[in-house]
Amino acid sequence: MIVGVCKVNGKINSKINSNINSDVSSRINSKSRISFSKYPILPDLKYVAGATCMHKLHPLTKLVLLIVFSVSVFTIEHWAGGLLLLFMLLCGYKAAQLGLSYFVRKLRFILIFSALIIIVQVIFVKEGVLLLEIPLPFLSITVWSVAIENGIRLGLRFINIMGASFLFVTITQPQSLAYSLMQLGVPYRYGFMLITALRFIPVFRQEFNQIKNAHLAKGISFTGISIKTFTRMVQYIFIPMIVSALSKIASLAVSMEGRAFGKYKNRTFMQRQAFTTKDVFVVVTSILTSICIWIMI
Amino acid sequence: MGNNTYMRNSHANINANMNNGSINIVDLNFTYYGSDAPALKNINLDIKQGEFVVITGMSGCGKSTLAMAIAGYIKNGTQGELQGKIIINERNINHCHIEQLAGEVGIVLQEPEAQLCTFTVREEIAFGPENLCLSDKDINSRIYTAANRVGIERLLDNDINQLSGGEKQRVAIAAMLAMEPTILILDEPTANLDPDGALDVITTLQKIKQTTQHTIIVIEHRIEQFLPLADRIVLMEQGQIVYDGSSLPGYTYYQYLFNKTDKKIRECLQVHKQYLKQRLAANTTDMLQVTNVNINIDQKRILSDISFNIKAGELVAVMGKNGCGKTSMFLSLLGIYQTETGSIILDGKDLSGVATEQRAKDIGLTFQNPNHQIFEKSVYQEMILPYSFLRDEPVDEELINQLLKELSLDGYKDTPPYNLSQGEKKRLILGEVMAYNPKLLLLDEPMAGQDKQHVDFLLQMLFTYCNQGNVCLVACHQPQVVFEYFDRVLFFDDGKLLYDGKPAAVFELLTENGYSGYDSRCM
Repeated sequence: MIVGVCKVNGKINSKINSNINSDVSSRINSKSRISFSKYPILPDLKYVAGATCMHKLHPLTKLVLLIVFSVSVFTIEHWAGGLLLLFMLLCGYKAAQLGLSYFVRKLRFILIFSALIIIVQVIFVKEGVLLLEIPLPFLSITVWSVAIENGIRLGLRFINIMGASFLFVTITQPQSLAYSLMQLGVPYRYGFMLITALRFIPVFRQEFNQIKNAHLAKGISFTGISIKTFTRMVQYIFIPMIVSALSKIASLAVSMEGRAFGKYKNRTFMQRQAFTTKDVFVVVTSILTSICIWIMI
Repeated sequence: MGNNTYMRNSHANINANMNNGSINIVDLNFTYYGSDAPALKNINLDIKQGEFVVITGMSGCGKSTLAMAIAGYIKNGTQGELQGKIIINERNINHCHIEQLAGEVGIVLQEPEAQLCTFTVREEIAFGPENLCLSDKDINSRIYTAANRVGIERLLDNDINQLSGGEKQRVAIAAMLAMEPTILILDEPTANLDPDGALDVITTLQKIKQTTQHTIIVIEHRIEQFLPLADRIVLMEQGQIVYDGSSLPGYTYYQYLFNKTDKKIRECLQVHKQYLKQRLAANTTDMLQVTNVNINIDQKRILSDISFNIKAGELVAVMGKNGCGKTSMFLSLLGIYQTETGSIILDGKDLSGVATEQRAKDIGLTFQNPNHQIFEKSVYQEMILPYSFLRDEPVDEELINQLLKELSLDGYKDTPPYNLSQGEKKRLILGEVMAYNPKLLLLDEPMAGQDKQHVDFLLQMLFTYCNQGNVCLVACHQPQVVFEYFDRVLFFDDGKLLYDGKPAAVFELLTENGYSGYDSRCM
């Protein structure tokens, strides 16, 4: 949905520009749209195919790694530990062949937010040793050691948690995770909820675009911000989406039930990924490492 | 050959021992809740194992309801009242659960997209056998047999989102075949496909018929293509079976009942031809001039170097495979896609740099799926929706009422449009654009999945519209209709305008160059 909203904004921008009525503007506009989609403020979160050792790990191993890492982030209090975890996280990105530039690009929003956390700490926390004082005419800026320490600790935590989740999503195919969970014992009816939802995301995105085009063709435009425009928007966008989703679901139900979905309590799975010794090794090492770090720091 | 026959016989024997794929329907009556007229009336039907039966009739005649009833999806008390018996493989299914019927009856629906629930072709075909808790070995053998029967072995590891419509429909059929049902039902399997995709599906069905003993039931509006396959034709009208017998006499009766060309449409065509002749003789300037248009989307060329001119009053068909650029062409005329280079001139006015809202005043565009284009709470409000956005003058109520009457929607003025039938929705969408009378009308596949009556009605409306000096472009997949009624064809292939001319001439060129389904001798 976030992507959808971004696209709508793009459209609105392009419409405003195209009113300028010149060929040049449309060319600039098309360029600006490209840059808009290439570096969005909110990064699009999706699986990136690859064949690295990180990609090849069992989805559940990756899930365990994510959990161990997140627990470590919260149990390790000291900022040095946070730095160490960040270093490990970056190694993970490296191993998945994503590199530092990918990390910075995708997590730009998170990095900015972490910087804000540090600034807030510096402004409000006045404890420990005075590190720096910048005298200004009305308000002199003072930087205290505890503020810096807190800021770095909290900022790192935020980066670590978000970065790890990002890495997990980027290297794990959602459907293979769903299949793995079902094989682990999650009831397959719930697992298939996720799978069919994922299957229909591109379909619904396409339908959303079609509805937008139908709006344009009928000259429907939403001007001004008011409750009336909002209710109209809901009526004109979401009702058609829901109607078409319901009709799709009716067909899907016929198709799935007709193929014995739900006939037995269990089902077999063709798509199985076995745990390798490498997976076991990774899980054990990660748990041991996190305990070690916790004891040391 | 002998060996083959032997195998088929032995296969048949096994089937006969277990379940034989026969259907007996005895005095079946069904009425939907909230409806006065029964959807099915006194249906008696016996279908033997291995038969290929085509069930046809107008929209709303009850054929889809019958298909769903045979497949076990309609029960007494769920959606309506059901009386009578449906006996499949000597078992009354009135009280069976759907899942218990899986493996006996398989149904493939119209929309391929909505029937696939996984990501790759292999997973999709495996889905059914997995639900039956089969072993890996059995599942694999079922996958290969099913894929082989519909000819998609080479696609097994492909991503479903990247398949064409015809391929998706074949995957849906393969997925059903993997359940090894004795009865396979297909509800308008080709309605949403282009001619190539439709042909793919029909060839597939032919292969299934020849190599297996499945009982096959096809529900269709346009039965011409299925005639060589059909052992039997069942004609339905208003919930009743009016003919049940061999295919040739059945087809004659079908032509008589549903396909008779209305005198009125012939007259309209004559009037239109006359009008166009005068108009062309007067040597007027072109209404629409498209010159060297190029369109890129995400750095990919969608349309390259498109040029054509259209005179006022012409009814033009835009043809080509799905994804060849027809819809992109329409969207770029309206300015939703921005042209990279080239110019579009409508009625002497250069449209480059004109915003979509402005263009929409002169250009009306409708899309294939009416559900994406209906926004208002009542039919009347929906009718005046584009008018109120695009025209400054107040709505002419008389004109709207008259239009509703012409569309035979005047009885539904206060009905929520979502409650209309598919055909009625399509008429409503058409009425909406006609209400504000744009100079150029773009219709994206208005005839897909529609019966003859609706197509005739649509053509009548379009002739009248064109005779007022307007231009109409219709994206269309039906060579027969285009051949008979349209003035001109633009044939697109892979983003290029391949041919432009009279239907007969274009179809001849297409047939010469190996495009199947356009042979005018077969129409």
